Amino acid sequence: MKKKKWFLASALCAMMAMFFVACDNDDDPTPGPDEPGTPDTEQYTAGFYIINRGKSKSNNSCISYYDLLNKKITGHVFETANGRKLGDSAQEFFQYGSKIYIPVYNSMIIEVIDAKTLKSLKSIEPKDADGKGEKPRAITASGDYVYATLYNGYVARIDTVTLEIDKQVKVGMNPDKLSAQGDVLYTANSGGLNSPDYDKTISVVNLNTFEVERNVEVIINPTRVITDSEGDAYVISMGNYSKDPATLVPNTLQYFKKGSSDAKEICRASVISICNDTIYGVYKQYGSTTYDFFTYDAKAEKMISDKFVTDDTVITGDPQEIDIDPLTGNVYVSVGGSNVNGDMYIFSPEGKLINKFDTEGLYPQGVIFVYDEQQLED
Amino acid sequence: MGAWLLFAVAVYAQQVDTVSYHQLSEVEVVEKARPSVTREATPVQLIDRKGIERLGVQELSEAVKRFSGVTVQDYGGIGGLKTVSVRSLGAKHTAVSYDGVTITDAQSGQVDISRFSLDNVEMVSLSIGQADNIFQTARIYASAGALSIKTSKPEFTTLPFHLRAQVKAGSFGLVNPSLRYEQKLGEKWSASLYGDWQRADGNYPFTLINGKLEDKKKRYNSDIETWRTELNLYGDFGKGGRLRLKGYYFDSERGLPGSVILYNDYSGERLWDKNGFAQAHYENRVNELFAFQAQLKYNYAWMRHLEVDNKYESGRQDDRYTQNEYYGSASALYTPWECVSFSLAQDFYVNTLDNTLPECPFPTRYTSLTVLAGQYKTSRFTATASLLGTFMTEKVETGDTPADRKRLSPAVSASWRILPEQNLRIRASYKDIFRVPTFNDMYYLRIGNTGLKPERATQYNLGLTWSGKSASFVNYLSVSTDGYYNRIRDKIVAMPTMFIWKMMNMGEVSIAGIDANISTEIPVCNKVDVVLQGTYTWQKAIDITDESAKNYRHQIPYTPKHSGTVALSIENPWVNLSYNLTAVGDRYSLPQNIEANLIKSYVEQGISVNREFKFNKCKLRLQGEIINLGNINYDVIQYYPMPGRSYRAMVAFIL
Repeated sequence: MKKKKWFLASALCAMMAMFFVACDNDDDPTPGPDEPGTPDTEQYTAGFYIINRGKSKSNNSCISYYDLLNKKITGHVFETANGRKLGDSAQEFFQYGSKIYIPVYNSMIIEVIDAKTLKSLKSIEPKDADGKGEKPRAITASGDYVYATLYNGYVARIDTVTLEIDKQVKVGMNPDKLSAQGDVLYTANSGGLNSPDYDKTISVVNLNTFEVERNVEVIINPTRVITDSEGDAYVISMGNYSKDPATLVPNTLQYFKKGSSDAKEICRASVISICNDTIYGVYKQYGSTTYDFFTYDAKAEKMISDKFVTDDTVITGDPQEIDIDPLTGNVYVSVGGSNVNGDMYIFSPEGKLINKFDTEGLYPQGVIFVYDEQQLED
Repeated sequence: MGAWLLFAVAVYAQQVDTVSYHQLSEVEVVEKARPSVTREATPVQLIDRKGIERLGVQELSEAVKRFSGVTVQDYGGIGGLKTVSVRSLGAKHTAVSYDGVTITDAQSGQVDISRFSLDNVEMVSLSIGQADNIFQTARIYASAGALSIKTSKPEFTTLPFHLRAQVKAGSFGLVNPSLRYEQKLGEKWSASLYGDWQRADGNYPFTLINGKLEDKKKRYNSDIETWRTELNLYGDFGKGGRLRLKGYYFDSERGLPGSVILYNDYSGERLWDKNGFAQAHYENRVNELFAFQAQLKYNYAWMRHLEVDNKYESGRQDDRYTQNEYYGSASALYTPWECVSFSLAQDFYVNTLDNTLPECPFPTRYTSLTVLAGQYKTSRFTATASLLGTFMTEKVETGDTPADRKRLSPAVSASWRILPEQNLRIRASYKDIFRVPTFNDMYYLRIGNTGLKPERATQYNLGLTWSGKSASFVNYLSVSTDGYYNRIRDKIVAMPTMFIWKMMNMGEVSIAGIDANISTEIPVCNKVDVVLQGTYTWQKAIDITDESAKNYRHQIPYTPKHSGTVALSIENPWVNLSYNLTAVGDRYSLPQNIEANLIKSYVEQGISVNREFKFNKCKLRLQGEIINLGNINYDVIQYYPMPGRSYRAMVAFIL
């Protein structure tokens, strides 16, 4: 019985693809080629997958599943399904259609798994012109393609049917997160390995030609870019992590309009995510023990609240990622510890803590929601 | 000369329980003075040339692994980093001295013991806490544990020169020829020259276990090539004292295979090291009341680290680090009465670091160490107390200048022979010590923190030792058991803070443990002796930093609860045989003691055979070993696999 329900849940999660895409921080409202329509209100959130990055060089990236009904977590579900480990330093995971794409940075693979069974479909090994492996960093999708940033300065285009990389385009130094909106793709070129001479550009890629259209200059060390429904880009630059307040360039949220190259500062922020044009952000500067958690209206371009958490919950550890369940409006904050398992904090839309639990892995980097049909009474 | 000899006997022989000196004549006691493992008021373990040859030990790390309470962190292979941690305090609390002068690396704070050859070594000893010998440099006092390497001093009886030429060869392309030449230069002077070259491919096979998959793989980029040269000049001027000059040069290039990363076999890191030092030691035992010694050292260390990886904009990251150290030490020993002595030692040293990383602050560190120690010693009772004063100041060319550091560190110890006729002793000791933050801790790009405080370590030890002839069928038996408690405060750890790591004084560790050692020699029949040695360590080293942390009271990483060694040698006129076993219990790779972090226990065994042929004045020594006899697959550090079964052979010609 339980197994059957699990299967149903898994099957449905594929159908929910568009929703994940819509409310992942890698915002993209364009449906994939094999996606059905929007979910109806008969559905509910049965659970979610969590990706844990693990500690670098420890080969302990892993996926957990949390069952919201039974409030039970099952760790290492990728390993259970495939009889092998995921690899080292999986940066995130991204669902598009019936597949989940995982950029496993140090293992230099993009693991593609079936969203229902978690069985591996392919381990894509990106290679540079010299045949050397490339380190994948983040994934997004638009139309018939999935796109991955590669830390050696490229974006790879992956055909969602053949799961082959058919083209790579050169962007800036050490591109981190990316985001696609219709026929435009943005990459946050961090130049993180070239500090203190960080990169400070967002590459704007035309997806029709798959060529860089222009570069938008932002504050140094951009690591994250998301888009709202109008195609405006919201960028986080991590700055220089300086210990000296006089030279510090703090973590900053900026935005620029679609088609514009003029980036404007909004506020300080370290992690952001967007759902239904509301941005959820956390600011916790390098070395700080306190944080701010805010919400921002991307359409009206104004701050909603600078204190999202309304109860006395204190997040201990470092927020790594924020996800919003579009069905419930609940906010999921993935929090990393100090070389110990991370925690998931679930807040209601009103900012009250609903639940908090161990993610069964180190440094959780976000969730993928799994939906089920509402169980009808006989 | 006679007076000096008498004095020396008084100083050294007092430290020696005669029973453990069965092989040595009285005169040799002076020449090859070594501390008695059962008489010392703090735990001391040692292995001398005879033991090294008997057990067929060829690497320093293999010798140190046989000590109880010690963890050798071994990254695998000939070129893999090997550091020594004593009683879970961490490698940065262990001082390594080479012929009495501490080897330092102000940048990393730890010493890679794989760079020293064992061929040239007379004795390796490890003392925990404050050793009984108070006539030492101040630096030796400034650590929680001290690994002391003493090289052979030439002794001439018949010929005015000695020669030892040897070649070692082994699995994975190991070739290691070495030459040692000793020459008498008149009445007062002698010299020795040592040189060796070593190379290995190091591409050893291992089994990678990944979930249900077992993959036969090979280590790549593990090659190493090393040159070592050492020149010693010894002057003995009788009443005029003794002088020893040493020049040392080490040069190596190696591949760094890195940790095994699943699905990624790429490895593009290389390391070059050049390290040279010159040191002078002068000692004069003026009379029965007064002795003094002084030393000077200059140390140069250069390192180049290259990583070829397309993730860098230029396709590579090529860094160079240069360190200099200028060191001077003077100490005096005053013995007003036969049983009472005092010592005063003053060390001063300067360390500099220069590297090609962006934002290098070019730090210069000035350190002054002063020690005042007193000792009361009779045949039944020894009590020692010392106080170390540290003053440290640092200058940087850019960025924050750290505050000056001042500290007083006391140590006390006592050993008492309970019964007059029996060699049963009880010992107790206490030491409060610290380690200063390394240059990496303080200045490393972004993660460094100049606000760090020193990491403090407090050590308590209580032990029982016994040595003697327990029965007529043994030559000797020596046993010791020590219980200890250590506490580390303000532990310097790397903490992740929003995507970037930072060094912080964040840890507190409580370490309780038991070390037990046994050593015996049993004559089986004429010319056949069996020597048996065993060690056992139990340790509970738990993190008590934060009650709300997930690893609160969990065993710290890479610290087995149980570990032990056994070494059995059979000495006979035909072929000497020895067998050794190392057993290490379950450990965890990360702070949380959960299944996902578990590293399984292992038992590693080896055998060694050797035979010496004597022709006239020269000797030929043949030796062969099988390492990891059971061909077991194990890691000391997770994802740095150790080699499976491998072989080594040696031919030495000694004149």
